[in-house]
Amino acid sequence: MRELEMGFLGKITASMTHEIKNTLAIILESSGLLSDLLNFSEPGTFPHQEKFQKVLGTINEQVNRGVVLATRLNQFAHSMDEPLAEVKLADLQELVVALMQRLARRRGVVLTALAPDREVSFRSDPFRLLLVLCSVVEHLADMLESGGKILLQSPPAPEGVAILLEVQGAKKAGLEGLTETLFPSLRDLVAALGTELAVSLPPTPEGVLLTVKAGGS
Amino acid sequence: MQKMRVLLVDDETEFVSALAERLNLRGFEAQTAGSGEEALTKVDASQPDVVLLDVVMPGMSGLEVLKRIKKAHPQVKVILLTGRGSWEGIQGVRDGAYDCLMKPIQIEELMQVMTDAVEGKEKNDPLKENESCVN
Repeated sequence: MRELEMGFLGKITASMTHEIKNTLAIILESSGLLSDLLNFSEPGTFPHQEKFQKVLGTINEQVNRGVVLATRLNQFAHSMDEPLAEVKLADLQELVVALMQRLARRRGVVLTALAPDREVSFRSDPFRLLLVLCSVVEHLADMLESGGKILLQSPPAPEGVAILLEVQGAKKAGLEGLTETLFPSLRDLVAALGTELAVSLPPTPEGVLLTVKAGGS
Repeated sequence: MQKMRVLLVDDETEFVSALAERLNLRGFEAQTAGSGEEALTKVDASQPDVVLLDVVMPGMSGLEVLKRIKKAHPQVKVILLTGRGSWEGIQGVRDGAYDCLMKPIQIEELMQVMTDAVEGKEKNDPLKENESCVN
């Protein structure tokens, strides 16, 4: 039943994001046409040309922003398509950053991803993997003082694939506490994914390490 | 110099009418169709240089329209347009479309792709270049 519900949620969300993009495309072309008409008109024939172009520029920027957001939401929706799918590590990291950017920003935390130096992909459940990673990001953002940073990266892993969520900056509490707060709530999910969660402490970079045991390719 | 004749096909009529006006301002001769059936009638009647074709439409799908155009008028260049990430864009390129663009489009990019198509410029790696249609 859970799979059925997720499939439904994903399908409807994906469908709606397509419609949103269609709407944005109409707004973009309409504002583009207005801009063209101003540009192709005789100089001095329209008294507010500069103001109009400025406003149209803002519309253009915001539509493009909306397109990026709709695209990310669409990718998130499609993560629910299949319980087992090919996951590209770089795409996964980028999507986590995109989905959690606003939440991190509201806590004064900078969230970024360092692209892997090679193309890595593996088979997993994309939606549940996102759920685990986004939960970790949320907890880490809560633990950091404003001005802190979370950096997603993929350190070499002897077996499988590793994703390190490194934290930088002052913290409100030690990361060791995560083993008693966050990790138990994710235990079943992490096990079902064939992954492991661990706290990484100095001298290694400080953060949370997710290891996908199934192996990359 | 002869104007490039373009047929814009999409059930989102506000989208194609605004785009057609913009192309006309830039020296193209653009007309529109709101369905696959209307598109086929207009292609038969005027045989445009390029057809910009939405993949997902009510009634006849863009891919079906593409197949029929390529069968009856193989010289007509077809560029697919999609608002959704899917393999349909790749399938369309395999079925003879010159390229596949994602909505919303940048008019400069569209004009470049249409010009390349009409000039017969070959794409280096069609499948790779169309990864944007498979989000």
